Amino acid sequence: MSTVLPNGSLTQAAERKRGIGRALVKSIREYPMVYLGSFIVFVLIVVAVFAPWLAPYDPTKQFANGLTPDGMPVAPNHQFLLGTDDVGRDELSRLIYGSRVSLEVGIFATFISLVIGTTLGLISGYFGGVIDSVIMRLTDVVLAFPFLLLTMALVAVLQPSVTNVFIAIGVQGWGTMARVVRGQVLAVKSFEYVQAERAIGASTARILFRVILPNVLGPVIVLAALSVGFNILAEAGLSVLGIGVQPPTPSWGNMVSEGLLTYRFAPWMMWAPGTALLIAVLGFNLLGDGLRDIFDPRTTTHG
Amino acid sequence: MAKVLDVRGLRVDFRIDERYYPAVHDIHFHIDEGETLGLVGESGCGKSVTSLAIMRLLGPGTKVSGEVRYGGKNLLAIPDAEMRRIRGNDISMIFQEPMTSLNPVQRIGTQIGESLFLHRGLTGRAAREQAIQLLQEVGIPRAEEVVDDYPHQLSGGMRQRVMIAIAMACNPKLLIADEPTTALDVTIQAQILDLMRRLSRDHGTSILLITHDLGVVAEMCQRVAVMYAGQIVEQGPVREIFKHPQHPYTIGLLNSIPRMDGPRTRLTPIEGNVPSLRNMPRGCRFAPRCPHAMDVCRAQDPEPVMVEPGHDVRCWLHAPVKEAR
Repeated sequence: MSTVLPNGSLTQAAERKRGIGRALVKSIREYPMVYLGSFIVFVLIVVAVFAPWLAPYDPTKQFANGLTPDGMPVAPNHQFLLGTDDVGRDELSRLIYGSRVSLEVGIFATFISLVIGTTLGLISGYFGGVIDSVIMRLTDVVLAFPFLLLTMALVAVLQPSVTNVFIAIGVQGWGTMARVVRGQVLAVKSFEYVQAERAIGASTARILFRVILPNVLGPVIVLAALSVGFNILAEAGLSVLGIGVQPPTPSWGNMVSEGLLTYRFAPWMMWAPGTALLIAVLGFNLLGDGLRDIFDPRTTTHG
Repeated sequence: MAKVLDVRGLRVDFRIDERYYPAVHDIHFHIDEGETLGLVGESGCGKSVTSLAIMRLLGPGTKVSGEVRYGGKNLLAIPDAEMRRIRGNDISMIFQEPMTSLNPVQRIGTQIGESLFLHRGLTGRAAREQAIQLLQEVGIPRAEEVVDDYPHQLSGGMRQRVMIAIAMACNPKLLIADEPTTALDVTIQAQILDLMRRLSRDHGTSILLITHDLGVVAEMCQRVAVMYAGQIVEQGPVREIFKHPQHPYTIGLLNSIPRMDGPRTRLTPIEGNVPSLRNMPRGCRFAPRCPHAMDVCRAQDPEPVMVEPGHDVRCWLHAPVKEAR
């Protein structure tokens, strides 16, 4: 144990570096879907961030030639790659800008759920007893409440806007997170390193956030990725119903909603945002599912 | 010599189905400065519970009473914040299972630094350098690299060394080692015990060594306390107890291990099992298994009796006859 090879340090460092590279290659081969998912998510983020540079036109500009002489949307052509909508705006530009709303709502709503759910789950799992019962019953209530009904009520009270939509979605999405975190905490808190941390004089808050939290984060990350996809869909659903993001701000949801009215003569107006939604949600779900497989080697249903 | 720790009448009750049962009962012992005291007994006799009670680390559902005197204070009566300052600083602890005693998601250096930050206010470079120095002191080769490793990159013996480094980080007066070598193989055991003995000597740290291995006690300790079913049945200097054990349980314990010296004889086990918490015998707790049990043993719990200065035994065989009634 106390003998060291003369070049022991060198070989070890080299081995470590090679190990990481090999592990990456191996994981790509083993979990191709994670990489497809990450790729979709990455593209989505790039599109949203660089929307002003990527979009050919201003998404709210109405073009004189954006409508046919009898006032119908223009089908896809070389000027309007995805056609125009019923007031003569470029569909592609709206789609590109719409990705911002989708991502914003998806990520911020998830973030809100994450903060509430993780905090309550940590407290519930760690302290147990009455506190645990109260928090878990509260979670049951939130989980049992019809999502759409509560969101409609919340948005109606708060006024529909991007911010209010993600708040409304976020404050309801924490139920599952709280449960998952609580379960993980119950498992982690019995490990000796938690006891050891207390034995060196750490306070409860320190133990919760510096020791337990990092150790329960794996499943939470998985859940967050899946939840972003779900929240994007939730925003779209609300916008289709007209209580989500309001026009003229383009969102994939309200684009589908507008397309619905003119579907019979301008189907591209629904296909474009619909397909975008499908791909975006697919991306986050693949990512989440894949991460779950990576974090939990026991599940064999990956790829 | 001055006493570092003085435990008087310690009692721990566990709640089982709305009732409290004493898991540890009427514990008296002390540890002198620089001394290593062994606490031996079989699994479930309350050794670990005793150590956790001293550190006030027992969870809800337990009731602790009695006195644990350290530095002129009763540790069981001081506020939580004050107890936190004592843990890791004055009294620190190492655990049985080195594989699970380190946080898997933090680097070794960070975990050592934690203690240095909490009690010395060290951060960043200073903490890191101190951590490397501690790793060197506990005999870890390539300390400058290991400081950036994660626990899973180290072997069990190395991890136990890291645990010792964390425990010794603030130069504590007392180190409680709860079966520190049980999970390790024999060669590593010897190294870890050597390390503990060296650190104890160099820093004047007292050790409360909890173990079920009498060999470890013989090698490490000056005095030993033998526990059975939540009580200390006999305590005294190691040589004295190994040569002239007085309590039938201690005698049984010593007869059940092989000896290197003397003639080879059959090992004699102690018949029967440890009584469960829920049905403790009314009198002496060892009576049902004791070859010398008398009527008084089954009726009344004996008090500790001094057979020689510094050597106590809790047994009716040694009680003055008049008191036996």
